[in-house]
Amino acid sequence: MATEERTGEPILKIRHLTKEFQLKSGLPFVKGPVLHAVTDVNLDLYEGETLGIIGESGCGKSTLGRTVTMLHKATSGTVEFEGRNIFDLKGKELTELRKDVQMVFQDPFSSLDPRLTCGDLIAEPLIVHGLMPDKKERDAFVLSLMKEVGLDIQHVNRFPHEFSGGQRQRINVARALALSPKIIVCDEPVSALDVSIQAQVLNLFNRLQREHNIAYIFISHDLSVIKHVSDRIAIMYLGHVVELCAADQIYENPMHPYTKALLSAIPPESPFQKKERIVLQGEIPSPIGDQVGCPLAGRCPYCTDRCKTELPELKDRGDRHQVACFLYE
Amino acid sequence: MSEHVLSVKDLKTYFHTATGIAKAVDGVSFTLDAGKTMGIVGESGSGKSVTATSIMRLLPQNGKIMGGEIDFDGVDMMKLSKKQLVALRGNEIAMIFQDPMTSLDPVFKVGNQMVEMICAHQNVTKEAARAMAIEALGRVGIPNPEKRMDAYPYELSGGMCQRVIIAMAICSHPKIIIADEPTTALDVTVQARVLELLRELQRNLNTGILLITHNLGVVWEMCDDVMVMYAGQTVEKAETKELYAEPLHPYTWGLLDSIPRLSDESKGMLTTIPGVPPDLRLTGECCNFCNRCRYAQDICRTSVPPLVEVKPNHFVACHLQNGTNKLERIITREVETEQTNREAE
Repeated sequence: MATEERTGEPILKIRHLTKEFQLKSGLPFVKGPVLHAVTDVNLDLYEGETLGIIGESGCGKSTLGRTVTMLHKATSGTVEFEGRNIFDLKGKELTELRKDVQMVFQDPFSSLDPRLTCGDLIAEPLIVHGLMPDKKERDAFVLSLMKEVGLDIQHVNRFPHEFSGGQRQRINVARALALSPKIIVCDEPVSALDVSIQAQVLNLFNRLQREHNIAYIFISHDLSVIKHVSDRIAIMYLGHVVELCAADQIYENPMHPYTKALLSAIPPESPFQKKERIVLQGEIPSPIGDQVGCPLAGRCPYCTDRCKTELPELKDRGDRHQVACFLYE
Repeated sequence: MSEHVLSVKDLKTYFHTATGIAKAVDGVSFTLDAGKTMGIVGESGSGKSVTATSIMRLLPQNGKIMGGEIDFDGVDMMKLSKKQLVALRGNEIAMIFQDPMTSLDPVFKVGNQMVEMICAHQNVTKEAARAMAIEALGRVGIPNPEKRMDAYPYELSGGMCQRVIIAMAICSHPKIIIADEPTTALDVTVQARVLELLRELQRNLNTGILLITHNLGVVWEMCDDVMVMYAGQTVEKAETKELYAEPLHPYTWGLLDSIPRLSDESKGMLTTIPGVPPDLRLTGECCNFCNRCRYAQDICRTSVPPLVEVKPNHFVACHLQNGTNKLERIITREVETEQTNREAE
């Protein structure tokens, strides 16, 4: 889907979303330090597009996904879905919302109840939301979903342990699909799979999006996977979105120093390709405690005094390419 | 070079399970030279890790080496006693495992673990061992090695833990290092640095590295030779550049095509290998890949293809690619894939 089409209203608007975790100090009556998992994130998600979120472990990408699906409560900020802030919703409205925003998790082994059969697992969301009370109708729908995601309908009475990793992930996708959601948050859905199976599942995601016009928030640490499925990509570092651009731009024109370092660290695509490596000094700093300045300041080769004291904002540098770095001011 | 540090011939490792015998490794042969890196790639269950554990003789109870030869620097590994093996492991053959956090004992300081390891293999005092450990930690690029000696594993990040393990591995100047998915649990930037470190150590110490991975990018970067495994058998073996430029086995083609590339257009369809790997209890009667292979013919379903050298140093196990027969590689992208994918799914 081309960028030009996206002139309409986004279906999901994330504004100044911040999630902090209060840690325990170990002492009674003493407040522990604060872990800043996600800090001031602004993102839009349009209908039928895929927004890829990439970053290293601990950068807050999963927390962001979980906050959007309301598995975590945000510390501050809003997430607007179809014009309403999801954190204000209660009771029935909230249940309605949960139908529209579904999630697929990383581990296909632990995200399925081992005591339910494949058919039960896929029917579960329908029962929870009171859709299709008629059992016959529901069973037929479950079978059609299984076909849709490429599962053999003869396996409807099998238990999760009888399926392979790829098939289990298909069950997860079918579960999410059962409620015909508008958004699916996919948290590392292919990380646990082998490459040949990974390709099958990625193709499934692409096809479902075309056929059902679902928007994905696709979280992964694998840049080539993200690049493959996404329309736009957000790069996260230490709770901040440092760059946001169209998927092709990230490869052709990475701007933020962190993005450049990340790209240079990816193993080559052929034994003939020689890569120039940009090495960031040191380790990822701790997200615990007060944060001052640019998150990358301590490791960035272009760091100036300003970077150490001021936080660069995510600004458009033309061509809808947003970067949070003083280098481009 | 004719002197191989490690040569494995027709290795067969079977697992005896309640429901039958799983042929985890079924006739694998390869050689490793000093100062070279040999890569083993394959999907999970293809037998790459079992090959490594067989060489170290670290198999679980129900795993048995049913045949083959393992020759390490002139020593027949199959004939060694338990005691001799213990002396060899960690000393002349070092091993690096996938998960750095679980390969260190969480209740001991990393320094003590290193000292223990050095004292076990070398006749040195504790003080000397400690000095060696500090030196090794410095060598693998850990800042403040003296201070880090007193750290517990949980205080170190994954990349740091992996460095500690590499430091441990090089303490005794091993002739070969077996690295089983050494960077799979690490982030890409950390992975890049760990690989860099391994290469540098290899240059300095002239160690042979057996690198087991499922990430082809890592293979392109690190390996001189590469072996592709599928369902316990070698399907293709060649020099890395040769394998990339001219892969011959249909499985290798599928593997190469199914990886999303950064330089590709986004949102395209990937070529996939339909189906799933076979049950290892049922392999060994035909070509293991025949039910997923689009080129399969009758002969593939009735007999096991031998590994033949079709070009100097390029081995392939395929009936249709054995030098006399030749296959035309069909490259499917976009339109056609769409349809086949639908069927495959």
